[in-house]
Amino acid sequence: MVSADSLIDTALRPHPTVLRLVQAFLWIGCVSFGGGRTTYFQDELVVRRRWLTNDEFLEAVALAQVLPGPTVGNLAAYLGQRLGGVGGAVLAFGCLTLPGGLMILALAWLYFRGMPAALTAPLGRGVSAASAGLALAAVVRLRGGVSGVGGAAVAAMVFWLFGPLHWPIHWVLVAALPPAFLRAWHARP
Amino acid sequence: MSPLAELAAVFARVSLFAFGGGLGILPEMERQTVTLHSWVTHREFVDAWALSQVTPGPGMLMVLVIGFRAAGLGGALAAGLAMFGPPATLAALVGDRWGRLGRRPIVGVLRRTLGPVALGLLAAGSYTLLRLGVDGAATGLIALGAFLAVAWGARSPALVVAVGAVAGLVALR
Repeated sequence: MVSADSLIDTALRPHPTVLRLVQAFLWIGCVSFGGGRTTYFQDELVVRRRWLTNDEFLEAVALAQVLPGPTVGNLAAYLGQRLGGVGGAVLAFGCLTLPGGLMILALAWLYFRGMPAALTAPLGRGVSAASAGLALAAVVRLRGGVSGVGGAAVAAMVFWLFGPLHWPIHWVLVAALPPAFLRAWHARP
Repeated sequence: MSPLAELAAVFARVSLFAFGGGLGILPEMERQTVTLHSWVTHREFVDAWALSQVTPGPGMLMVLVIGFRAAGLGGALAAGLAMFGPPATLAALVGDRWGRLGRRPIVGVLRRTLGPVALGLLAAGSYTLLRLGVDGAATGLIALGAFLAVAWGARSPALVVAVGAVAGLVALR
């Protein structure tokens, strides 16, 4: 298993400089259109910059989603903290939200002065469709985080309860965490 | 209560009681901002969401539109800070604690507990996005192309979505 090794890696791996941290999260903040925003984080932080392993990233996604509030903001704050302490968290969160915040304020200003929202609609449809494919691609890219039949069964159960059946997240966790924990305990090195 | 304090109180409450992220927040937010406080009309609420779909960064930046309508720039800032600030602070605190857990075996077990759960949550999220974003052959092809390009082609997600947006403009007029 990778977990113990990845911890050692994390300890040895140099923390990114402030400049690189800003670059990475500002880039994500500027380009992360549509749903499936987790994919941009994985691509930039895991694939391109190698600051995290896939396993560490999956942990971050789980915690960001289980905690209250908007997932993407949580993810930036959590990852920023892990990569650069308190300052890292503030910078990561700020860089993620600033470009989109300014842009949506500009759009809001236009909208309340009479710009029809439908003007952006054709763009929105292509973006929505592409980002749905993007979200699914993240699942494929991160599938290594699940090893063995037990892990796949837990993932499938969480998917089914939270997706098609629309269970509230706390009931999904009540149902999924015990078997997930037992599997992890059983598979420990 | 001043308008700014009221905006902050409402969005902080909506945010802290929203678990699981994403679209699950929307019904309660609409109840608070349209029905109870009349900051925006139903139409404006829907349009605010549509604007967030063509804006980068978190989708919940749509609260800036509502805050802006209710109380101008200050309102937008109050709504945004209340929506994102408290949970993001909590997430950073958790990151700090989680990072200090060290290398005890039980930590490894906890880490491996979260992996499959996160993957299942992501899969459920993409299921929802597919249901919302794909409504015919053209959008289906765009989604499929984006999926293949990013999953196995290892293309940049930004590039792929840009191509998808252009394809949408061409095919869906």
